[in-house]
Amino acid sequence: MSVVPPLLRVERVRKHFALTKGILFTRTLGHIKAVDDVSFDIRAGETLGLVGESGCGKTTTSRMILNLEEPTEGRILLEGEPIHALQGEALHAYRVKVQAVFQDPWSSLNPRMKVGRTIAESLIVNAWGDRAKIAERVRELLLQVGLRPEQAQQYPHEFSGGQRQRVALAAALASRPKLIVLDEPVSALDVSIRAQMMNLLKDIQAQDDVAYLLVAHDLATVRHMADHTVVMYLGKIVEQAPTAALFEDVRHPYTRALFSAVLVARPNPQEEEIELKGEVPSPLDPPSGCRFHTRCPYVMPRCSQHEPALREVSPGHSVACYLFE
Amino acid sequence: MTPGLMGSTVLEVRDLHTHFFLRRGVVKAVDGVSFSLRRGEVLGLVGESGCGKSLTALSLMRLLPKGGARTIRGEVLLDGENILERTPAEMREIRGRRISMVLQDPQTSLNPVFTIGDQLREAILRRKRMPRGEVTKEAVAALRRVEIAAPEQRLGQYPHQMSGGMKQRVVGAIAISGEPSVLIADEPTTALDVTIQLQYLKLLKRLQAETGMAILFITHDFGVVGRMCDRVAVMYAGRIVECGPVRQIFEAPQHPYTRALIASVPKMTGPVGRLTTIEGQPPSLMDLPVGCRFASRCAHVEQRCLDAYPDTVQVAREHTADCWKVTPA
Repeated sequence: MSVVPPLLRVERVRKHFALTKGILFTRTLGHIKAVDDVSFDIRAGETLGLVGESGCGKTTTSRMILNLEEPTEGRILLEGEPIHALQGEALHAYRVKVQAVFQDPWSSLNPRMKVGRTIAESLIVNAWGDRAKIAERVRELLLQVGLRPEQAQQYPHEFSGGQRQRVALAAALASRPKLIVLDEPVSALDVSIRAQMMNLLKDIQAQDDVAYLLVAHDLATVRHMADHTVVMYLGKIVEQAPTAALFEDVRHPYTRALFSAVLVARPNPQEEEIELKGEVPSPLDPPSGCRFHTRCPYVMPRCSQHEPALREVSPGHSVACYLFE
Repeated sequence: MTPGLMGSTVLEVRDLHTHFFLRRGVVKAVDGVSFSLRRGEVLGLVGESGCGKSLTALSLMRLLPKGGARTIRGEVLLDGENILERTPAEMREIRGRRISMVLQDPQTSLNPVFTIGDQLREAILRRKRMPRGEVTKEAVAALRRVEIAAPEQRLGQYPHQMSGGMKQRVVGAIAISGEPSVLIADEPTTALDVTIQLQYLKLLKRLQAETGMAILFITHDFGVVGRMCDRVAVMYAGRIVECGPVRQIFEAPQHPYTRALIASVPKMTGPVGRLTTIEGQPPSLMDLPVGCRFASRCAHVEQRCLDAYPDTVQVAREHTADCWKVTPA
């Protein structure tokens, strides 16, 4: 463990959404535990991969980090400072430091704005400099993401999907953020373009020392991008480890199932496949004990009664499962 | 699939051309596609966005999008009969019974205001008139075949009450209710989670083994190809550039595009380094080069590649590639 405090610390965070019925006489039917007691650190200049299927809480977690949602419990600290207490100027400064790139660049670019203006937007809002200085920065950013400076004059529809994602990245990089939340940044792109984007993200990280929170469902992408990987299931972290260690030694039965469901680009893979029966249970009424016990091939009696804690099984590698106690 | 079960050719596509005729010009989206599909076989059609794989499928179904798309040349022989010459009324009889389709997003295939039962019963009744009770019995059996638990209760539910994976199973049940000999699956698992994707692919394989239908599986994912397909056809800019048995395509790809495409997929094993990329972009389908369409991005380009489109070369048994530089078998 390094003594340097992490760039971002997520500390025992919970997010519960109340499910209500009625408009005038509102009744609360229950709480959706979207994120339930989640903790992890992101260090400066590193990539943390957040993996899981729909409904596991990875998007809610990233929204809390972006300060778009407030945690029900727990706190998130950027450089030691709790982010949800921020107001006014300080909140503004936070938004400069933490940026995001989403899956669909269409939804993050204004179709009626030239991309140069979109990229310059955050610089203008923050009064970063005069016109000439901003124009120079936009030029620099376009080159950095592999586009031509004259493309600043074009509209989003004139770009291909991969290029639009580069524009979104340039806009996120404009204010020199410390952290970029990448929410499925390559899953809408074609295979050959995906590889270009992944290489570009790595190059930029090496140049600018920016940290990434990579939210993704594709394990191979995470393997190539992330230094550290967190696996979530129904709002809980089930396993976390340095990426290399995790891919070498997968422990949790859910992570194993996730790995075995990855279809490798090879004819008729022969290795054992763990096929999970059924679907992810409702987060409104999650199973008792370990939330994975209803689908786990190794379920034991106590799994349904008590919830296993996240325990370290080897340096930096933690698993929440009774098989490893 | 054992070779003995692989049957005769059920679908043969010859020199298919489907173009969009726009005011600005002609978009040659499908431009000379030929392949065949045998009974009990899964043929993968792989390529990136805009390569024409989905439009090929829609051409086979004769369900071209509105706005100037027309199939101007070629033959689609279903059991030896050219369905491009059938009337729209005849096509309605062919669709669903002899050739059927499953699309990427089950949400768009199901009607949100009718129950699952209504939609299944409609599909069954279109095939054969029968009394109400029997239709329901068949609908229940159809849901059971796609491994939906408690099918009797599901019949009364609406699409929004089901998960994505479940809806895609219902779409599958409707698609195969007419016992078609060819099923076209256009990215059916792209919208599903990985563990649910695996369940669905296994189900498709099982249904195929039971019915002996042939599947044309359209995808951009080589992982899905490895799991599902017997043979693969790789499409680029409106043409099939390479076609062969899955094992050979993975182990000895011949066309530079196929090689580059497979190399650019992030792997689950081996060194983690820079990924191989394909620089540049595919040519505009409105202004295709006379030579090889991949020439502008190819690392091995020569003058002859720019001068003329290469012939289709037989590189091994059942394995062809459109490239000047491959060695014929």
